[in-house]
Amino acid sequence: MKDNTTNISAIGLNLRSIKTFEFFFKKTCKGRYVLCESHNDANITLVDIDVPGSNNALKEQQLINPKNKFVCLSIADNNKLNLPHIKKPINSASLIAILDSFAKVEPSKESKDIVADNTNKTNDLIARENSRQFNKNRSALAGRHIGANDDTGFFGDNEDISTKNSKDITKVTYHPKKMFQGAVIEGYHIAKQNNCAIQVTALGISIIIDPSNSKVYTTTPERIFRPICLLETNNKAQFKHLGVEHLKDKVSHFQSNKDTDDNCSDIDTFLWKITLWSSRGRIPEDTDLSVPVYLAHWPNLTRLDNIPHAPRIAALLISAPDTLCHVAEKLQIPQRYVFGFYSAAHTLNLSSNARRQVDSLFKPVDKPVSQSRSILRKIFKHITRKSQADNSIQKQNNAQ
Amino acid sequence: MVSNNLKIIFSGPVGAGKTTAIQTLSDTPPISTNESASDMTKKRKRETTVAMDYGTMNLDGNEKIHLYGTPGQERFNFMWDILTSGGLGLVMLIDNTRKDPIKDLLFFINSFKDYIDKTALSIGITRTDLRSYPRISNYHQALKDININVPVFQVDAREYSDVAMLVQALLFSIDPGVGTDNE
Repeated sequence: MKDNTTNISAIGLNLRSIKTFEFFFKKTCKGRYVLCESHNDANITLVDIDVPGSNNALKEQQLINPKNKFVCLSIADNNKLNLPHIKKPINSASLIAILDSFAKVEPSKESKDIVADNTNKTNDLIARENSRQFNKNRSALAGRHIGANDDTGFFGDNEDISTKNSKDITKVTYHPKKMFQGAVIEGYHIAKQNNCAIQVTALGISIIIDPSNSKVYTTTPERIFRPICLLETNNKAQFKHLGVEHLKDKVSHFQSNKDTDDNCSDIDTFLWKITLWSSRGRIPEDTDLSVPVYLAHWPNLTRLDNIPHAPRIAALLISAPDTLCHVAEKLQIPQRYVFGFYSAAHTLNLSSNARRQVDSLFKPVDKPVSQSRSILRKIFKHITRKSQADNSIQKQNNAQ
Repeated sequence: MVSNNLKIIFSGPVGAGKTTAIQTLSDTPPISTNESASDMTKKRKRETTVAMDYGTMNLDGNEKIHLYGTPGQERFNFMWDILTSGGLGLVMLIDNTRKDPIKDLLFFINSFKDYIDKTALSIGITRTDLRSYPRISNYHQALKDININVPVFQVDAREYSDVAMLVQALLFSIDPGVGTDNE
């Protein structure tokens, strides 16, 4: 029987997903497929392209193992990679069909859907996550932990659009209220209004918002939050008031959880991050791209996830309200960075369409090029270079 | 001869992290003229800067940016005028654990008003891990009241990324087009 097995490797799958796949391959597929650690031993590679950095890992593997077959898993309807694609939640029959076509075996007739419902899946994964013991031998299969510099996970890959084309505009908008982000914002408002801590539960994830110190507590690791932010809550978020004693118990329970690196963060930092994950370089649906937007003041950029060009976007918008597309054009950067910045700043109530009459009276003026631009540019390059070196040293230290 | 424009000034009250920020940023061993502190300064740090701190950033083309730290003690403020003649802009550091950091902020802004009007300003709030109040929003409100809208960030003066962000914000406040690739 062993001769009939097909080795499968994975890119971007975390330990919980790997355990799920192992179970699925062993039980449902009756051992016809086996997950292996090395891509070199694999015939097929599963790639979760929603995980930041996986696109690059995929390209690398396509070069190293050109004979391998690659299957993309994504929350999106399709992918631009021209590869076999399965939309999440993964339908087991579709997965088996693709795997069988590659492995040239007869399709199994006993396959059942392993994932039926987002909430159940999330609950299941979280339960496993919280109870699991890390298996070092398997860690090579786990998804890469991606830092803030990995663009795609935060800003998607939308091309620049024309504001004259309404179809284009639809592509770059999203509905924060329908998503996990909306539930968190609503929970925060309730917490502030009632001046008491609130537990928000949506899509099987719980967070506690404490307005007294502007903190958010959670036991859910980032790698779960990131995909959850792309799902709709279907208005099923629950909000529970927590008394002082209850809050103490909950917080100490959350803080004793060792599975998350950071289970307490500032509300602004948290809102900024989940907005970036939810928006992926898009803008809230009610944003008018033809109307200038203002920035009330600079975001606290040293304590927020890094957005490429954020200080430049902030500096420009602080000087005068401007349309988002014009900002991108002026700074010669992809629109998705400006859209992502705007969405995150909008969530923190720092930015919005400028609706006051006075704003339309002051058109943004193109400043003359600064006389010091050449030296400013040299300083900027110097700092950027040193920051990159500093980041890699920190990464090495963390790895040790 | 060094152009007078090629310098960035660091200012703020005693113990706010000016010396540390310059050390963090400087490519050459910084020169510091710290002396043993006496009187009220001693309560906040053992040594204090009586003349100035100095460091450099070595840029491409053998150009240098000079980093000057003003003394934090108010009685040495005559030095400020000397240090701030010319220069690209001011990085102000405010210690959040002092008695009234907002008052410090307003004092230093008022002291450097003419210089700020001519150049640019970015503000770093230090030691927020030891005391979280006033919050960043309180600083923004205080600045709004005097009609100033500049970058204000929480910083750890020992962290390169934090100090670098302050300088970047300063550069882009002068010219947001600096980071464009062409030209």
